[in-house]
Amino acid sequence: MSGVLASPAFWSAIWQGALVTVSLTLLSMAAGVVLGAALAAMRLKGGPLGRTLAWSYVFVFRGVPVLILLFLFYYGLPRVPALRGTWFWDLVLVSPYRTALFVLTINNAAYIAEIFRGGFVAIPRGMIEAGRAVGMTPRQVFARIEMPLALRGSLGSLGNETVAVMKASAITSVITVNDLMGGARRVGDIWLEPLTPLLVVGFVYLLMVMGIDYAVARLRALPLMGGGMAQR
Amino acid sequence: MLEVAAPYFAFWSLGAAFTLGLSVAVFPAAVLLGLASALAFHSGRAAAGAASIYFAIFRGLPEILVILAAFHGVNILLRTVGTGAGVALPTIDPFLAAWLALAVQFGAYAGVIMSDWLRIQPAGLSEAGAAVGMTRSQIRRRIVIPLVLRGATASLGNLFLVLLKVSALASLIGVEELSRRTAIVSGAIRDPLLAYSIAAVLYLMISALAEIGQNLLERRSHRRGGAGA
Amino acid sequence: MSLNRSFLTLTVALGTLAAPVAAQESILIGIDAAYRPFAYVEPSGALTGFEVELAEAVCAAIEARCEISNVPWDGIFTALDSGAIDMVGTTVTKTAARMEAYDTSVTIYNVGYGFIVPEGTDVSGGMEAIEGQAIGTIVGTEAYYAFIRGMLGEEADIRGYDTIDAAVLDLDAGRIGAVMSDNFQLQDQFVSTGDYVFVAEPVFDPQWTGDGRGWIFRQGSAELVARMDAGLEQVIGDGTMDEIAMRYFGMALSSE
Repeated sequence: MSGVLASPAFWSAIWQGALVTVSLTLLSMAAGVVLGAALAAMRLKGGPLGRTLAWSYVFVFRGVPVLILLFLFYYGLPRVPALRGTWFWDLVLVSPYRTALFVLTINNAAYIAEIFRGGFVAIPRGMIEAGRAVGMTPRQVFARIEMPLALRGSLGSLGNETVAVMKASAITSVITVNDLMGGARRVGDIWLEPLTPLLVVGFVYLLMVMGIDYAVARLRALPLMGGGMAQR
Repeated sequence: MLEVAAPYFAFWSLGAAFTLGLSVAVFPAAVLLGLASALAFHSGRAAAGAASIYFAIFRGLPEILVILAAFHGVNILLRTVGTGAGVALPTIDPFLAAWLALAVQFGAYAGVIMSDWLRIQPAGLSEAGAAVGMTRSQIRRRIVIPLVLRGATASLGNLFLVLLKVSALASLIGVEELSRRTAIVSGAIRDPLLAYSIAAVLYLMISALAEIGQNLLERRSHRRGGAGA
Repeated sequence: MSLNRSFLTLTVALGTLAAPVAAQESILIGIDAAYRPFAYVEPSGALTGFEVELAEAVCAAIEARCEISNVPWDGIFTALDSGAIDMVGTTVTKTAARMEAYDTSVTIYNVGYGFIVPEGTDVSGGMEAIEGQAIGTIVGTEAYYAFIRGMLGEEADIRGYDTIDAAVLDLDAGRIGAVMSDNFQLQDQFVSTGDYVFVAEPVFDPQWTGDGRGWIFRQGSAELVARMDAGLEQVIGDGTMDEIAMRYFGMALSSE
């Protein structure tokens, strides 16, 4: 059991891999929140065409497993000669890490869109009417009432989504990304100890979940997020 | 282009059926585990601590890690025990390993969902049961559990949709469900783009099917809930 | 703890369900059948390909009962370590690291390294045809990088691709001058189409290509390795392997 644990290469793979996992999670959440907000807006206020497009997006990217999306983008799309030399090739398909980031983002944007949509739908009509009554323009109502309330209502779900993205990133090693899971497993393979790395890596994932929960709790306490107000 | 893949459609459809079958086999076990752990969580005894540790661990562990650990861990365990006892024990089948891992992991997800419903269940209902002379276990069986299951139907339905997609990870230990068979077909026809595109469509079809089933189930449980629901 | 014991009982029971005791005598061979023509699945679901037929021929030669299962490449070594299979029947390159960590069979065949260019390119001067041009190959394959530098100089412009097909697409697009890989892949997938030619005969020098390809076993499998080696020597000696290779690759293999 101890062989691999005594190996500096193993701990370096854990450290490097943890950095990859954290960066994949954070970048994909940041991009996913932007894309997800746009999709939610389309779904709620985009007219028949926007609604249909947003609905289809959510249906497709929530319905297909991340594993299939990873293979499709990494092994499938490079077979299309027309994509070579396009911005999409240079920006995304050019490396396993970027392909993984892209796939995680388009996938989690579908979930985040649904979270935001739920957040907006849950806003009591009275709040919006109160804003209009004190003379706010529709834009002001959106920026000062709807947006903050929807964001605050969605915070817990966004925290859960962050955990879900982090867990999903564990399979990016199938397209050769050396994340926490993939990097540590590769070292474990050399040492003929398939199980030990899994136990160590599992512990690191649990620590990172605690980190995410702590961050969400701190965000909740911010005045912007209604800290001090009654919890929902 | 499709002609290359066409001979494999029967092989492939069996994989799709297997994906559905794996999830259907896992789900009842996960719901039972979830129910047991949710009841334990609200029991206010040592079992409550065990349940919350169970929830916390599987909320944080990636499913692929749990599947690999179940597969390799059980095999190593069997080999160690076998060597110690001087007998050659067989190895665990990938399907059973995937079933075990997914049931335990999704049992924790289901447990969190159901303990939320237990939390908001009005105490008056149980008290009413006690008032008409029901025993504790009768109250549990006839009031608490049916109400939790009905309340959680929608969330559990969503959980099943998640399970359908996550079960794709079983392919990585060699379970020949839709994803693994797609990799195999892709290797045989040497066209990953076509193979994975078709797989994506198949997954969407399975999800759509499951969603329709979920809607029917929800409508039924609402109807049974009567005017109050 | 009783919880532990019941877990154990459960898993043992599950394992017993999975594989009847009769399987004890069989040699369990794992092959990743997702790579035509080495190993792939027929529309009927049956395993076939060069590696599958070779393993079957060897088992027949030593009169052993073998069970060949389709194991994903990603987990094939862990399957070997954990005892789910006894032998990796995918023919893998016997690198120094693998030979240290595992038992290996005799070399089954050697791979040669070569370069291909589009048909119509003037290759009469051999390597001169591609000197100074960008070369595409599989990313992260150290041996390939060393070979390209050895042939074209330390300054060679090497572009790594995730798959050979991706590299050849860039060759078609004129973004690189040649693609380097092993002779099977190049011959079977590209030269055989008539659209590409080898720049020179593939090179079989062990300085570049190492110890060739063979089967991998857990450490401590000396007895099994000896049996399989004997079988391999027989099917290599009597021409069975060449016959299988002719059917799948259109060429015999070098096991020198």
